[in-house]
This record gives sequence, C-alpha cells and structure tokens, in this order.
Amino acid sequence: MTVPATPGRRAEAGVLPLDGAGVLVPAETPFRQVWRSFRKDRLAMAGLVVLAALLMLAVLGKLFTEWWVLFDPATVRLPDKLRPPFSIPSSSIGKELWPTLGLYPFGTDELGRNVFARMLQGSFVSLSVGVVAVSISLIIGITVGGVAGFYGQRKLGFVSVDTLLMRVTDVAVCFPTFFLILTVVALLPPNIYNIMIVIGITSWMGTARFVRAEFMALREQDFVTAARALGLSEGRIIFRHLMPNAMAPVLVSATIDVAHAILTESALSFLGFGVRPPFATWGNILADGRSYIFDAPWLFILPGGAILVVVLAFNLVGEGLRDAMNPKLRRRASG
Amino acid sequence: MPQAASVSVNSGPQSPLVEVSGLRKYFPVRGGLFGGVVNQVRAVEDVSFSIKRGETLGLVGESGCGKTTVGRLLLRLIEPSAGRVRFGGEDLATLSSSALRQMRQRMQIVFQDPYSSLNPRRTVGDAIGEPLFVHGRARGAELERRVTELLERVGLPGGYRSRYPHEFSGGQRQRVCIARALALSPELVVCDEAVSALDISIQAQILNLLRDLQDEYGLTYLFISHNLNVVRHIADRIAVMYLGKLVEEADAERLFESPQHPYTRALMSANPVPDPDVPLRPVCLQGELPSPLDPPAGCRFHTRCPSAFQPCSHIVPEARLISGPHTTEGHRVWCHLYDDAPNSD
Repeated sequence: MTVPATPGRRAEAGVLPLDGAGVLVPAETPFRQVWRSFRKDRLAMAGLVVLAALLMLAVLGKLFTEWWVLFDPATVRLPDKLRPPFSIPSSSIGKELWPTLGLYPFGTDELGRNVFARMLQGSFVSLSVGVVAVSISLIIGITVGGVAGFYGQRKLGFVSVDTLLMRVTDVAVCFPTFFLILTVVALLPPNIYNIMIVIGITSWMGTARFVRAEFMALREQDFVTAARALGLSEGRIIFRHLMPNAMAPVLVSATIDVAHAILTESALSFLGFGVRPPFATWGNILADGRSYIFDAPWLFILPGGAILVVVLAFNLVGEGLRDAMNPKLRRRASG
Repeated sequence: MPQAASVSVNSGPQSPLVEVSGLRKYFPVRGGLFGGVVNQVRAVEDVSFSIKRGETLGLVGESGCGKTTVGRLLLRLIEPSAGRVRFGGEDLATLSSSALRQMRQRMQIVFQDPYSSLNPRRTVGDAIGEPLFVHGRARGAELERRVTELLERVGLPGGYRSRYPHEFSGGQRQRVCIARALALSPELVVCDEAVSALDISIQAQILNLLRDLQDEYGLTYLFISHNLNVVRHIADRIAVMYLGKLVEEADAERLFESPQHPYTRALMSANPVPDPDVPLRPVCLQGELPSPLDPPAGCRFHTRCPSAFQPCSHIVPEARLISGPHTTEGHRVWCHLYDDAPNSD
C-alpha cells in the first residue's frame, strides 16, 4: 500500500456506477449562463438595446456625414439660424442647400447648420471616446491594481511593490487631471485619438485602487491558498480565481467612467483643445449652444440628453452584467 | 482506531512519509515610520516530528499556538524561517517552483472554513476538475467522469458538479473540499480544523468519511484540531502544542490514559466527557496565554505551570522518552519533571 489507489482504478472495477441521468443538469458554457441570466434583467436588456442602437447610429452617422454625405453637418445657412426642430427651410434657401429630409429634424444652430447632421457626426466621436478611453484606463488600472494587490509584498530595493505603485497612483490622483490633459493636448496635435489616449491615461487610478483592494482581500481567502496547494500557476490563479471575483465594482465604476470620458471630451472641445471645429461632437454642440439657452433650448437639450442616454445605458448594462456574472444572484435553468 | 492502525501495520516498517526537524516560523511585525521590522511573532519554535505512511497524526493545542502555521509550513504554503521538511525523503525547501508544483500533487489540504475555501464564481465541478486538468490527468469526457466519481465518493450526487458553492450546506461544501483534495490522489492530506466549523452530527459524518477514505487510499493525515474528542476519534498519534512548541507526543490512547506534561493534563481535564456521572475536576490554569511576541524564557509553559520549579524559568526542556504500556512509538515529553528519562534525540 505504498501508492494510494487512484479513484479511476476503482471505477473500472465497477465499484462506482456513473450517476443516473436524472440528476444531471445539461452542461452550459459560462457565457451562456451569463447571457441567460442577463436576458431576464429587463433594465439591463433595455440598456443593451439602446447601446446597440446608438452604436449602429454612430456607424451610420459616420457613413452619412463623411463618406456618403446625405446630411452635411458643415453647411452654413445663415438665413435659417436657430430654427426650432421639425421646421422647414425658409424660401430664401436655395435648392442646392436644402437639407436631405426637406426639414430640420433637430432644428439649426446659430450658423444655420443642421443639428441633426451634427449630432449624427458627433455620435461616433463621443461613443468612441467613451469606450476607447475607458478601455485604456481599465487596462492600466487593472494591471497596476492587480500587480500591487498580488505581488505587493515583493521588495524592490527598500520599498515594496505595493508601496511604490500606490504612491505613484496617489501622485496621479493628486495631479490636477484636467490641466494635465490641457497641457498634453496643447503639445500634441489635437486629433481625436490623442484625446482618447490622454483621457485614458489620466483616469485609471480609481480602477487601480478597487482592483488592489479586492485582490488583497481575495488573496487571503482559503480558496486561493487551496489553488496554490493544488499546484496551479500564478497566472491561472490571477485570471481564473481572482479576476472574476474582483470585477464587480470595476465594471460598475467603468460605466460611470464612460460618462466622465464623454464629458471630459466635451469640456476639451468646448475649450477649443478637443476636436477641431467645424467637426461636430456632442460636447462642442452643447458648448456652442450654451449662449442660446433661452432662445434655442434644443441646442443643449439634445446633446445633453444624448449623453445622458449613453451614460444611463452603459450604467444599466454594467450593473446587469455584474449581477449576471454573480452565481449567487443567478437562477438555475431548472427552477 | 482499529482500521487506521491496520493500514500502518500492513504497510510494514517504512521510512516516514513526512519528517519535520527544527521547524521555525517567525512572522515579522512591521511598524514605525518606514515600515521596518520592529518585532517578530514566534509562531513556531523548533518543532520536530514525523508521520508514517497511512498514519494519522493529531495536532492539538489552543487557539494561536501555531497549529495551522505548522500545517502550512508542512506543505510549503508559507516559507519556514528555519528547519527542514522532508516529504517522501525529499527536502521541500530545495525544490524549484516547478518541481514544487509537481510535488503538490502528492500533498493536499482541507481547510476549516468551508465557506471561503471554494471559489464562489466557479462550479464545484470546476473546482474538483481543475487540478486534474491543470496537471494533465484528464480531459473532456474523462474529466467529467472523474469529477462525477469523486463527488459520489464523498457522498454527493455526481449531477451536483454544475452547481455553485452557495447552493450547498457547510457539510456538503466540506465534502466538496475533500473531493478536491483527493482529486490528484495525494499521499498526505492536512486537515486544518476540517470539522470545527460543522455541527456535531455532520462532524461525525465527515470524520467517518475521512477514515473510510484513509482505508481505501492509504492516506496519511495530519489532523489539526483544538477539539480533543475529535482528535481522539481519528488520530493514531497525537502531538500537543503550546505557544509554538511541542510539549508532548504519544500514541492517542496512551496520551489520553496517562498524559505526562502538566499542560496536557490541564487540557485533558478541561475536556468534557459525555457522561454526567464523571465528575468534572478541571486543573485550572492561572493567567493568560503569554504573547508569542515575547515568549517566556526556559519552558514556555512555566508562567502558568502548577508544578513549575527552579530550572523551568531559564532552561529550555529537551525531549524525554517515557516508557510504559501502549508505547509502541515512544512517548515524548518536553518537561523538566522528566529530566531523568532518556533523551529522545
């Protein structure tokens, strides 16, 4: 009896019958489980539908305003300035300047430009700024927080990895982010990609702190010790055991960060450091409309409302995803 | 322990599976402006013992005496400050990290808290199957079959493998943890207070399961517990710890019949016997457990020992062999009362 009999050998001898089909639950991939649970969450599904629609709109917007110009956001029609939504162009506008639908669905701005066309053009910029900037900040934040939380005790010279990374994070938090962005954007050519990157690398600190705190709490749990005792690799422990448990607060804060990123882009465009006019973004439509709050309220209600809808949709999807990924809140297929 | 004993008899004379010598673990206490080491918690101090194949060694002592630390040092889940752990003849400290990962297949651990020892986001089937998959023992349908088998072996329906930990009771979770520990067919299982969080009837079920599994697979256990009755039920030999040091080690029956060390006696007398006619006359110890930051000099127990005398406060007692009935393996005591007995080392 030096080597313990393996369980496998016993089954071959027929000691253990395989279970009856009655107790078997059909195997489901984790992705399908999450999706099934997510689908039951009506608010989250509504958010997802809105996001999908906006995404399509953004792509169509790029198509119809830049490549196949159905709606020209740059056409100036001074006689038709500040016309309310759904108004028809005045008779002084020549046929060649008539808007495609024969009316201004969202009205016109102070230069008589079609706000509908400008919103369409801006939707791509605003959405992609939100998504790309937050993706960059998530990548940096999860990496920094994960390393600090998991390898924090390791020493680098006379400081620990945790001390080093978290003091860097503190410095980044203390920095007046907006002025940093202004400085960087003033030095770099003001195109949309630079703005995405700059917003991304100035907004990762919250994520890093969340992830670090979660990792530090989780790594003391017995299931992580058990994973080490089972001889699993560190990569597997981090990505299969720690990450899934640490993602809940990160997901929710990421949805709020999307809103922040869109608003930061708006503020930059407003100050003239963002996307160059006449190129429209939701931010600079909103900024331009600020002088006409009482005369032309649609100029800030429409882009402001659009930002609100995007933020809300991201938030609902984020919270729905968080709940769907938590097995405790998920109901079984059978009941 | 008739069944367990028969296993070790059948296996014949062998070199021990686990040999621990001079094991020490000091945890640094950080503080001060720059987070320097200002003190040390002497959690484990000069612990030596060995466990034979197929045997169950019970490790008892009160909370904070270093039992759990010994268990983790044994598996090299934490690094010892000094001393050596030999497993199957190999020194664990010398293994590279990849060799250690291979070695881990031969030794496993079951934790006290069944609620934190399973990942809440993964099914129990994943938990049990993961080690098999990672070590390349089984894939696909074979993996499913092995997981089902393991679940059934610990008394759970195989179909439960697609369920999540929160859908189980504490006792069921502990069964899952045992199945996970057994997945790689280990030789040694460290049970770190494995039944302490369960209620009495479930404790009995799990203990019986552990014993059946031992008979079946020839497992070796280090059974860590503060509950003397539980240890008596399952252990072949028992080692008693006090403040990071062993004070006494003997065969289970021998230890319960004639405890020699004053601390063991106090521990035994405080242990409730489920018989109302047996008078309960505990040897009441005075004072509190001293701090492991600054353990007493000499014998660590001398501050509370009812029979302390002159050498106790400044000379560290050595292991002494006591002879008597039932002493097949030797009965070791670390106490100056037995300084006449032969030195065990």
